[in-house]
Amino acid sequence: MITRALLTIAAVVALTYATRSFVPRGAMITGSGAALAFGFLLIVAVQAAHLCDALKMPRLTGYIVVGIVFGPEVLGIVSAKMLPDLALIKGTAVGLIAFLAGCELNLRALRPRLGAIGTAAALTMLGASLLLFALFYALTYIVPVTRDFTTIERLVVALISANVLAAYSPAVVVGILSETKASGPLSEMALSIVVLADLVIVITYALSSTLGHSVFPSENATSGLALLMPHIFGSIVAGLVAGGVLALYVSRVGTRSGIVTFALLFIAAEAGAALHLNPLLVGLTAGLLLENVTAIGGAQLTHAAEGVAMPTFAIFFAVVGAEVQMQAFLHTAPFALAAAFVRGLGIYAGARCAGRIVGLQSIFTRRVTLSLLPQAGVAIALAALLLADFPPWGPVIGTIVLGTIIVNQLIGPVLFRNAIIASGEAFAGHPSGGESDGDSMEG
Amino acid sequence: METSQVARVVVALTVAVALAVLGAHPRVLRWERRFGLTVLATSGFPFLLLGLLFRELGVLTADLLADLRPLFEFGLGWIGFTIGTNLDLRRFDRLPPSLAPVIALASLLPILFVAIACASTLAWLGVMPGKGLVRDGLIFMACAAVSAPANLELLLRRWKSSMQLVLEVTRIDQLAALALLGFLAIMFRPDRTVTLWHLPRSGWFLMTLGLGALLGIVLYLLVRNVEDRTEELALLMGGVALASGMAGYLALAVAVVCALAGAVMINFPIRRGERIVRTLREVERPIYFLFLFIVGAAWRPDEWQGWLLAIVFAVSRAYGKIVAVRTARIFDKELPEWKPFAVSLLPESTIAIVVLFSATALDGASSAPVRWAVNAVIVGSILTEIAVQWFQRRERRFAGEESLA
Repeated sequence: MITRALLTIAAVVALTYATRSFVPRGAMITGSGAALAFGFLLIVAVQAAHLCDALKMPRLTGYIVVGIVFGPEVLGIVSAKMLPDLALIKGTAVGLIAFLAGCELNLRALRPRLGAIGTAAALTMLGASLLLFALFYALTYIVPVTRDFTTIERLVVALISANVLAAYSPAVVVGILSETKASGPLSEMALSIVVLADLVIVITYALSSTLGHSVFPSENATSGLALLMPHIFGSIVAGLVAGGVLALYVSRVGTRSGIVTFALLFIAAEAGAALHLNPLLVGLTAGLLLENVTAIGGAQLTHAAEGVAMPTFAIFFAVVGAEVQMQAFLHTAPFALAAAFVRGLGIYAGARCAGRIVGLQSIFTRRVTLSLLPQAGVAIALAALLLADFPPWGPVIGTIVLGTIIVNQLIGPVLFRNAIIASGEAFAGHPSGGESDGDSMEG
Repeated sequence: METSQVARVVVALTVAVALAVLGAHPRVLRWERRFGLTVLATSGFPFLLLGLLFRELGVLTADLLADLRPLFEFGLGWIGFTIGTNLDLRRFDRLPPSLAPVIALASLLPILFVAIACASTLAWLGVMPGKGLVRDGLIFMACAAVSAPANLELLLRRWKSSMQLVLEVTRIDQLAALALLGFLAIMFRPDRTVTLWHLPRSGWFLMTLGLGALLGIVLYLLVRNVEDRTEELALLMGGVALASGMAGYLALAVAVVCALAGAVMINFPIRRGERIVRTLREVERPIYFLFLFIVGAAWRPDEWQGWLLAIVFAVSRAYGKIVAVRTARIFDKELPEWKPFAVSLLPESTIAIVVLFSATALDGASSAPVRWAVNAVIVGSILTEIAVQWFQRRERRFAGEESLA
């Protein structure tokens, strides 16, 4: 299998490289370039998934590595000019991932555990934020561009950076759960925490960036409270409409539900880019509505969307990998590694506290910590805002933040997958079941 | 983009997607089959009107169409690939050799008749050689070639053995249309001055064939041993996107390269060929509808030249089919009577939309004659459909009288 996958990758790379030689380096052909990049990334990502299976690694890591290796910063088969054309697929993917997460969250079933989930989400975010805040505050004395800042300015820089890095990754959690077909208390809790935390992060980032703009006034501000209302409430309304349309469609027509779901989320992504709607919120609201309000239930649509989910995940994470700025990362690697370590420590401390308060087993707490380490979509989007909105320090601090996200997106999925497999929740419905050292939630 | 414009685009896309999905609903399919209607004249027609309407409302802007270009290219590739998988040579080998001249006549004569009639009309309208006459003539010829079988149970009920023949003819004429489309793309390459490859036209011809064959082999190697359906779908999507992306990148006819790839793949000993073809067809109809939507945006029904060409196109095409069928009966006496046989081959296939859509991407395609061609093929198809429906109703009446007797 490994030989076949490697040969396929070699053949597809050779074909694409030959085609790319038609126009000079740097030139781009509209449309075709995106289709070429899409096909190339999808085929190579599927082969990388086979390699990861053989190496007992998460497929998501394989997709990300494919993006990094063949992206603009390393081999350049997928050029920087091709990536913006794939943004629409990325937006749709974020919506689909959130939709699948929403479809998995049955609030009625979760009600007994809502206290534990809320406490764990709050304390892990708080733990990570506090330690990251302290680290970035210290960094402002080292980084040349912030060395002369006043205390207030340093505090704001640390606050915004900590806020971005406190984000989790529903995309990675949904991706790993889907890949391992996991279900059980850990899967449920991990999914609930990351979804809840990302909703909080979107709101707190709007608040902290508003504070940032009051301390560092800028003409090109693209975020803040003024955008918060339409951003959040508009997305929720759009999600309710999408969920309603899907419910109507499934109850009246019923065929090709997966394609219809994808098409609706595609439209939401196309419109969302211009209307400042958050595809994550749109998808999540639609999924929650279907699972918790309508008689249809999310499981039916999750099953129908399976066919489109796998290619979507592959493309999404490959594009995330291709967008990684390796050169910038290498310059800031020590800071990024330190921030990733501090973040992990903060999450672990928060999870331990939450475990004590709500009475969770310590092994369960450790595994929950591992589920919160990965970062991807939301964190990258917020880091991009940080880079753009706060010149001249934004690009420098933002690069460290992005470097931290790279570390987390490479290491996080591996650790989370191992935790899921160790918990015995992987392939729970599979006849062979999963290996487990057996644990339950309660201590 | 302004918020009002975004809202209009969202509404347009939502309506188009909703109609595409509903148009692909089994109930609509059953309804079409029952009345012997083609997609173009029934569920597809609202999309043409919708495209026309949304252009007038300023929804389908050049920017939006450019944004969606990767999607269209993928759609063209998907349809081309699906057509290619129809060309299973093992099935053709089972046909009696005596049918070869029948198939060749039924496919080629309408092309010839349309070429002569439409080229003469275009020349009369002032489109001269060197100013797009050859290009526009080829567009008409490719659209004339393809046909969708009408209600065969009704028309050929006395010649049941000929139904397969009609189906094979409609498959072969798709080939003829794609060959013409490939020729068009080679002859009228877009003017891209900043390229590193400088090949003669014969080089591009070989490139089309070679790339299609090579991608077919790659796709076969990718999907031949895949057990998981989701992975199969991902690889099919990836393979078609890669093929359409490569063809589009090199400015070759996307549908043609993908059709070649599909034909090569399906002719290898592939284990789950039928499942793959089924998967491809599931998505085919909604893609057609979206193309009709876009072609509708290029439709200019207010130009009289388009209406004139529509009549010329419909009449010459019908005449070509009739002459082909009557000539074929000279070779094979067991063929059905010429009237029902010709009518069963008359309706325009949706492949014509692929041809039109591809033609609009050619060099100089925004010119008036291409717009007339779009109008001529759309209106001509509807005129043909009306004639076919009239004939079918008459047959149904006779059938009713027969059963009463």
